[in-house]
Amino acid sequence: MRTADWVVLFVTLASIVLYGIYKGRGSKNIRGYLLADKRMRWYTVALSIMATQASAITFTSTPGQAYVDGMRFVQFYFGLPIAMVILAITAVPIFHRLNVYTAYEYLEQRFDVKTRTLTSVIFLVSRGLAAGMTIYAPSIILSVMLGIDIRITSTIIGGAIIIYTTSGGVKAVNWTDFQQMLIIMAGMVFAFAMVIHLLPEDISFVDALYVAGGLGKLNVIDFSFDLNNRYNFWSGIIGGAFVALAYFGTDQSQVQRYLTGESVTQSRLGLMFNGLAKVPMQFFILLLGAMVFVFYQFTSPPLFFNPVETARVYSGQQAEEYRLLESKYQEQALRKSAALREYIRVQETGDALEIEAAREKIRAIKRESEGIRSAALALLKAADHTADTNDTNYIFLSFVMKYLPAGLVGLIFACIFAASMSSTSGELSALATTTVVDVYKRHFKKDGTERHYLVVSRFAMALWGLYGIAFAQYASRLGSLVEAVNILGSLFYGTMLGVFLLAFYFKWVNGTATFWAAFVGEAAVFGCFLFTDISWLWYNVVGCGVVIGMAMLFMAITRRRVEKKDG
Amino acid sequence: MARPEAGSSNANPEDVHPQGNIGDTADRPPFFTSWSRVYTAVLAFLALLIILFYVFMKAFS
Repeated sequence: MRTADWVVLFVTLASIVLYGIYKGRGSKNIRGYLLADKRMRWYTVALSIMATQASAITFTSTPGQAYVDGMRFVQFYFGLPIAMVILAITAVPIFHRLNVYTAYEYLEQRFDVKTRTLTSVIFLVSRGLAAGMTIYAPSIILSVMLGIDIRITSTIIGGAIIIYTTSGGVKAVNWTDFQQMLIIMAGMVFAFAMVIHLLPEDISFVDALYVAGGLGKLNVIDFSFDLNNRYNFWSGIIGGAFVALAYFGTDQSQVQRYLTGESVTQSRLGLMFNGLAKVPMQFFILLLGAMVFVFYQFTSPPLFFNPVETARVYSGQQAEEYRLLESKYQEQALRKSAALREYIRVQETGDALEIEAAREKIRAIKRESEGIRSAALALLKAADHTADTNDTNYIFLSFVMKYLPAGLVGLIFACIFAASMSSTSGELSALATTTVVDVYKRHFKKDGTERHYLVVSRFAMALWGLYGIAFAQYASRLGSLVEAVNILGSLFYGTMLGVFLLAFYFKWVNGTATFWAAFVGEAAVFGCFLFTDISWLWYNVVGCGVVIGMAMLFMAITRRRVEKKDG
Repeated sequence: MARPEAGSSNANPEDVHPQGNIGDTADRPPFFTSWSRVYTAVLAFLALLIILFYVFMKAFS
């Protein structure tokens, strides 16, 4: 990075921290500190919801995903607007009228204390592990790309968050989320404009779309139904709706965002805006990735995008062989760009036979290129058997660092830091709130003063932040456990959703039936995870369905027993 | 009704749930006159996006 980039990065990060401290000042009780006094307008709620959901990985990995796998990932978000509508009708008015601090507090009012404690503990465990990952994942990528030790990148992200969340609480979190989301959007728009600008002069935007489409990167919609296919229309609209319902309806890191709304209207509008904006935003980020792909069809891409792994193979015995593969790969890239120009030319003629012939030629070159890359990945593994051969996360940032002008590179990296900070700060504030309200205040000290709870909340916020930094420092030593942690998070949402749906819609179901049904639901989800190939998007449907079904069964059995006794 | 304190369980959700229905006049949306119309607009927008994505995919593939 050049001096201008470091200046932009530093100024942006400093402005986020200062803005957070400024906007978060004046919280004198836990209502102010944990609920921002319920004074937030819809646009702050909306952008805070979006910023919390969009982690750094969204902006590093999503363009890379479009590069590798095409744009089909956008289908995952099709269920989100449906979930937003359901939550706006159901959860928002209930949570507002009851003036709860956490979603789990409502469960005690509706069921009993054991159900509240069970769900809050599930949240603390799953979200606690995820919070460590949301610092670790971008830290490792930024560490690789900037050539800085991961301990520094994770401490910058975690330290900045601790400063403004501890001082300003949720008010600071919401306002910085708002600011961070604007920075992120600006960065992505600039990056998109630059990709288009950097395409060869004879390749227009429409030509680029034809190239992306011809090479299978614009696979936005797939109507085929397949339980094992992770991203298709049906898994997106059904599975995605359940994921979004669970995430936005039962995960305190999101519930807390709309609980800060000034009124039911403001919270609902925040959710509606998210429902409107999320799908186009993801489409745009994926299209950015598809355009980076097109750019690399006319400019030779590196054989492997992760510079650390490449440096490792250069310094090993496989260096010469690897360099030979690189030169072959470059030759193929030149042949491919010529073939693509021919493909664009025949598109204009409209001759179906010529188009198919040009397409077949591209496919043949692509197969050869893939063969070279597979050989290169084998060399990476031979140089170091622990080498990470998945470079999806590095594709976009590699492009940014190599081709974007000074200043803009700093802005894009600021976006990545901002995205990481926005999602982590939302998680930390939710973890602190649940720790204080659902555990400490409910089970350990019920009669403390406002000042006491405020001090404990600040302490909890700082403690969760320190935990996140510590997790990131040691996560690389956990090896495959990191992947397991990611999967772990998706195993609990279905059960949580089932519990909340019972609370909202099944008024005749009691706490004990719900509590035990939650255990059965969780066992069913773990069964799917361990013994089937079903895509994880469907775990939520299974968990939720089993919890509801079992709770009704338990209620029916209990009722029959009571009737027998009475009879 | 007094605002329940965090961590307390002195509020009855049954008492307050009916107030949260879609037709609550205090919570009218600033546009489209009713929440049902806002929800319909959001879902219609989703349907439109899916159609546009499909057309986009077919046009360039």
